[in-house]
Amino acid sequence: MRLTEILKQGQYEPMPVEKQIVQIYAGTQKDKTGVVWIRNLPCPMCSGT
Amino acid sequence: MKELIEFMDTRHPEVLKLLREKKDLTDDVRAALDAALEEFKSVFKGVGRQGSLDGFPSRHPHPDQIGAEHAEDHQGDEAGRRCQAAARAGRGVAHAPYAQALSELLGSLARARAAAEVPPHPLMEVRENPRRIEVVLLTSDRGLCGGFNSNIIRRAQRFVVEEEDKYEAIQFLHHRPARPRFREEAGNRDPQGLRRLLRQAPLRDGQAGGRRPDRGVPRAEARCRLPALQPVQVGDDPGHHLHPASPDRCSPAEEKPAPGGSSSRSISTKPSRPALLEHLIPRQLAMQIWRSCWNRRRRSTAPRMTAMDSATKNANEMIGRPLAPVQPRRQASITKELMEIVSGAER
Repeated sequence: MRLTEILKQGQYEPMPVEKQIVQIYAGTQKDKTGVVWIRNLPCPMCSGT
Repeated sequence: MKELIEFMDTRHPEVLKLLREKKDLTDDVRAALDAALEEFKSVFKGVGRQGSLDGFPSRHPHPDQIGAEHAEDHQGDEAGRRCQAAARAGRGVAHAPYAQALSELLGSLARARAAAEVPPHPLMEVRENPRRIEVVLLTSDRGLCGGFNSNIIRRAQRFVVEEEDKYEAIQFLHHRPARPRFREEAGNRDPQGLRRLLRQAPLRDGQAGGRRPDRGVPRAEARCRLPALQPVQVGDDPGHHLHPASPDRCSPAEEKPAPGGSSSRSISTKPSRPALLEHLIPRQLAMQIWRSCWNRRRRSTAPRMTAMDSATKNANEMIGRPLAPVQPRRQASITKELMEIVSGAER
């Protein structure tokens, strides 16, 4: 769900693949301390899953 | 996520370029990405749903970074919210310290006079039960200010309904936007109108026992005197008492009298106190009105931006709407014209 949300892009504004890679990387990987880059909080836009 | 992409675009385009060229998440790309994300994390501050970046050049300049007069370039609810938040945080009040200092100075002078049991200047007298008051409405004549103005007028109406019993008469001093004298003032370039108004203010009877401003003064003169003004502002602004500073209206920090009975802010001047007050009170009035004008301008920005935003939305809706019935007719006329051309060519 979160990955779906972060990959949203505007109509007729295709996102270059390297930017999508950055987004997926930030959405899936963790930093040195083992914390995810993107907070996992529930928000109105996404269910936090 | 939008902020992250903007950040990568402006600060670390080399990482994106590396990714594009290598087409693989090699170790050096991972290291570069980690470093960039670490930097982004230190810069990014999530604020609700909308994040913000410190010192990061955004596509749209932050409304805080631009003058209020340019704020109308930024449309949208978000901009309006930010603008209102900035107004609430008192960004536009940065120009006010002089007005505040003058209020405090006059308040201290009034206290000193009260302590010495010298009858204060008539305009500095705190009247317990003023019978006639005048309300100054500072509306705006800038574009799209209808909402702002109607708020002010509604507030004034509410004031009249609530306070009617307390006073014999409530006069309103407001400017018609079309009046050129006030148009200058409303443009905040130079309040010639107000200055003229204040220059006319008869403060000659500065001695105690002089004619009270609210007693038998012709209406035109009373308008110039601005006696016992009550504030009318909108929003969370409590308004300002244009009535010059009095002991109970200066800041609490100034309440502590200095030893010897005189105030901590008392100053030794050559001119006599009445002369000093004659000089200071018009300035104080002008300053307070000037300050109110600035507040008016500051507070009118957010409603204008909201109005602009809704106008944009409506325009976008209208752009799509009329085309539906017009389109077939337009197409028919084009077809007809083409047919005529073709048939003419065949002949």
